[in-house]
Amino acid sequence: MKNDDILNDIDKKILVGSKMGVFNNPLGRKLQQLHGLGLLDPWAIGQINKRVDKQLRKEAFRAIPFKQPQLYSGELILGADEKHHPIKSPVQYMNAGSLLVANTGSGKTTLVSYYATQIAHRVKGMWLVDIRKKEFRLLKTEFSNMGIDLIIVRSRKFKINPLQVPYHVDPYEYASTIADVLVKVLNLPHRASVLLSSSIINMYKKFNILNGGQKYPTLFHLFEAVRNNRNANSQSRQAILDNLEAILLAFGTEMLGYYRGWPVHELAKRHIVFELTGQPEAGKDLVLNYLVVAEFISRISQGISNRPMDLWMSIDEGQRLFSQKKESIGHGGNSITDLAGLVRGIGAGLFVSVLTPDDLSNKIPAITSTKLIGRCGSIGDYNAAGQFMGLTKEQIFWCAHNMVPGMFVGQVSDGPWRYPFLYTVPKMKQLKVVTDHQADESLKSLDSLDVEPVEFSNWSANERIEVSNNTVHKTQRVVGLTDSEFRLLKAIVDNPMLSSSSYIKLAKISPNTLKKLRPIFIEKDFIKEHTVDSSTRGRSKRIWEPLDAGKQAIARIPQFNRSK
Amino acid sequence: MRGKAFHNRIAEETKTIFSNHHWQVYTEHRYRKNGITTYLDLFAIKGNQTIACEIETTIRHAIDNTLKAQVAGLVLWIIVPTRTLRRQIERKLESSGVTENRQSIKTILLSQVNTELNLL
Repeated sequence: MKNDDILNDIDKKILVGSKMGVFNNPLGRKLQQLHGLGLLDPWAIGQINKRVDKQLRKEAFRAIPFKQPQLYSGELILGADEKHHPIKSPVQYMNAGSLLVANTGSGKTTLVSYYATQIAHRVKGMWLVDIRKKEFRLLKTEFSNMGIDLIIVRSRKFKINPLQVPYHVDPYEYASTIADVLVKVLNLPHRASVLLSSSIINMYKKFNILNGGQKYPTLFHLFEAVRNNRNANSQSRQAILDNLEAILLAFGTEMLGYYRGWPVHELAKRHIVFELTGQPEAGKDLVLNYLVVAEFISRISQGISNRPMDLWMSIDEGQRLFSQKKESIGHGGNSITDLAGLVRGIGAGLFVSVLTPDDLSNKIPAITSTKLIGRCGSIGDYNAAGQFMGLTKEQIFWCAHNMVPGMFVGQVSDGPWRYPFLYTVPKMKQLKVVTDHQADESLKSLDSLDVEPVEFSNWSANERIEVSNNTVHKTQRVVGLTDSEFRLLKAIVDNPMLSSSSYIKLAKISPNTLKKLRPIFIEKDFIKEHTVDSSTRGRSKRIWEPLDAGKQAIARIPQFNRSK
Repeated sequence: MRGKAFHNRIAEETKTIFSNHHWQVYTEHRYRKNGITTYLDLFAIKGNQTIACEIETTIRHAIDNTLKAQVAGLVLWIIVPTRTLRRQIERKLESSGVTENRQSIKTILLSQVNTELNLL
């Protein structure tokens, strides 16, 4: 039996009107109540007809294929509908994962800034992460007008120790967690996780962390521990040394040389802009993964469950961070993706904005509940992003031809209205420029945090070897060799004039390491490269001749020689 | 050998290739003819055939060595490591007019020595 058979005209009007939200006011609700009780008089019927017909006419003449959102209450203004009426939602709708897909120049940062200024005074902590730009710092004046101190941490001003056990977390548990984080961000072989985990636990024992000590080992100590563990699986060990060395050299002791860095649970109570621009990509991953994972794991360990949002994190331009390719090629992508599904339960909101859904980790749309689309670059992007929120073909087609910067299609995570809706976000007024000096001044409010730097400031990844070398440039008095450099150079000295590829086996290094070290050795005058054309076509064979500087560098390491 | 490491390595490889083809090979060979004494990087003999080889890793001594071999009336193979150097030497020899008897002088890539010997 069809509904048509049993429903009269007024029933149908009530059903249609309810879907369109025409009874969402006191009189409307009373009309619904009267209908339910069968107490309709001609006036009430007239009211119902009038309301529904009016709305139907409105919808019929609407040029956009989106329903009028029934989002009229809440503290957060998402934007304005086509008649410039505000669309609102409770701030707690952001207490979950949110995903924004929009291409460059479509107003992503403006939208995040707009929300950040509204959410700022409703949460204890806010982390605005600028992965590629320096735009969030402009909010400093806006925040100070609201009485909120926005701290700006520039890329080289971090004081962190990823091996510092987060508040309320068991060191054993954290050792394996941070080992996994390091494996993922440094793109290490899976087996390296075991070596890292055991090395970290050994260091925790040595530093008395397991008995409540507060002087944590650093990544420099970890590097040394792995370097000295010559019995470890050589591939894992070499991979750790090679990749960690790059990070340690890039960041130095000024960023990572702290027995106790900034406690992450304290950072989570502050409004901070983290500027990662200028850091190496692996470095960005490390900093971000550490901060987010440390806070998440700390909250989980505290047994926090289903609490209101008190930390809002926004990761701008997170394309590379949540890359599907990286996730499939590497060893699981990044740790944030794994934990992002838990954000709601632990009172943290995670807002991720990306340029395109292409190459976006499949997990991200699945674990984010609020979804927003801005102007995208291609119909493919609209299709992919539209599927996340269930847009119809007509809606996707409309978006492809009508979206402009500042216009978004949204779908909120919670509440009775979960249809996609169209809205615009106002342009930000011209914000006051914040200089680097002002940014650094804002860091003073972190001075009160308990930080203990390491004693050494001139750490080098190299075992420092003095080589008084006349053939090397006069200013280059000290020549340092890393483990892989030593092995390659020794192989060249012991087996001179072979083709470069022969040294991969002889030195037991990877082709990538060989490629990396070649220009270094040539620059340092360790070797001279000759080319031999092996046939009438193709790349020339490279023959490496050890020079005096290289021979001396090897000759100056007798102890190391013996240990090999 | 009196050359540098790279020069010596090419000489060694060339010698090996000649030896593999059953040539008698002498390195740093002192050759005296027409009252002129000259030293050749390699001098190879097989039956009544002789080949003088000069290893060139730069263009610097190409003309001197060619003239030397011409005066001694030898068949000269100039062995070079790269195609670029071969092209440069050939141009230089042509422009200086020392290669009138083109049959007796060849500029050969190290990797082509084997093939050239097969063709003899």
